Parts: sequence; structure tokens; C-alpha cells
Amino acid sequence: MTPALWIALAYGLVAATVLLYVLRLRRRLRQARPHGREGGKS
Amino acid sequence: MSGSAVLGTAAMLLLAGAVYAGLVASPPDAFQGDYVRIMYVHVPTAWTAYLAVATTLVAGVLFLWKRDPRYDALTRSATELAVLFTGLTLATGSIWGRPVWGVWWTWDARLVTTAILFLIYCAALLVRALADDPRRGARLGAVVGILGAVDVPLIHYSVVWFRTLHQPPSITRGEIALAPPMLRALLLSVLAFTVLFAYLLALRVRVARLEDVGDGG
Repeated sequence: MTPALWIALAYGLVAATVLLYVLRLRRRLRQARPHGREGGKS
Repeated sequence: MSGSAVLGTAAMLLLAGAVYAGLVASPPDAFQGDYVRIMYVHVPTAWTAYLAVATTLVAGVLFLWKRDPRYDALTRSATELAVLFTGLTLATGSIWGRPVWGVWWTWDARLVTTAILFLIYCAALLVRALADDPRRGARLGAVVGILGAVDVPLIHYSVVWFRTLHQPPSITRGEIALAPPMLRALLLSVLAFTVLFAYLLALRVRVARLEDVGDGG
């Protein structure tokens, strides 16, 4: 593997992990909000 | 624009600047070549893991003392971030180690003490999740998090106290063993990850507080 690929692997892993974590937190935040989609039905 | 959105935007802009500084504006290292660029994510993830552990320590002590659920939300949020960033530190270190040292892993004092921190903080999350009584789980999780923080000085000074393969600190009180463009890239990246940590912690605490209200906690 070339240095560029190793570097891409390290940066990509960190970026993907943080992005997935943020998306998961934002989804949980929407679900937990009292006036979210579930709450809006009542 | 909310405080969280401001933090998120600031983190994104700083991270973009850090990527540019680390990949474009800084030169290759005389010995490591371009592999040094992995350090601009590896060192900041380790720094962020330290920040998360320090937050767990302070919030955990405050929770055990005051029994205020807000401190519990902060403790478990910081514990989760400590697991995330310690895991990323181990992974990025491994990705750097394979081409530079020739191995993914070696039983070096710095690596082993960092892996122990990762396992202790996984245990802190586990004892919370497995406890029958959530309040007991919160107390146990805080205690494990506080005990785990003792490992951080061991990690930091392992390269000084033991004969290790891992390089000693490049920035100490008396000396900075880095060329200015490399130092700028590293400091910008550390700043970007610090703001990212603040954003993630704020977001995670909001989720924890809302879920506590939902659970009647």
C-alpha cells in the first residue's frame, strides 16, 4: 500500500466514525424529543 | 443559531482547516516521510480521549458527591466519548504502526496502557447497562470511570518511565521538537478536535437528559 492509502485509511476511519456517531445522536435526539414525530400524533 | 449549531459549525470549519494543514500545508517528515500526516489525527484523538476521561473524572466525583442526575448524564456522555476516542487512538496508531514499525500491534508500554484504558471505559459502560437498578448502575459506572482515570498519567509517562518503541513527547515544557509548519498543523488539529469534543459532549448530554425525562428519571 502507498503512503496515500494508509493516510486515507486513518483520516477516513476517523471521519466516518465521528460522522456515524453524530448521525446516531441526532436520530436519538429527534426520537427523545417530547414533540417529535411520535409525540406529534397525540 | 443555537449554541450547539455554532459549536458544530466551528468544529467543521476547524477540521477542514486542520485537514488542509495536515495534508497540504505541512511538509513530509525527514524520517517518516508522508506517514507523519497520520499523526495529525492520531495525536488529537488521544488528546480528546484525555479530555473525555478528565470530564468523566470530574463529573463522576460530582455525581457521587451531590447525586444530581445532571452530573450522571455528563459522566455517562463523557465515558462514551472516552471509549470512542480511545478506540480511534488505538486504531489510528495501529494504521501508522503497520507501515512505519512493520507491525499492527506490539506489547509496548504506551500501547498496552492505552488498551487498558479502552477496556476500563468499556467496562464502565457495561456495568451501567447490566445493572438491574439504573441508580446503582450510574454509581458503579462513575466509580469505574474515576478509577480508570488513574491510567491516564501511566499512559502519558509510560514513554518516559519505560523503555518503549513509542516515541517520547514531541512537545514538552522545555522543548518543541517539531518544525513550525508541522507544529501549526498539529495545534490546529488539536484545537479542531477540542471544539468537536465540546460539540459531541453537548449533543450527547442533551440526548441523555431527554432520555432520562422519557424514562421518568
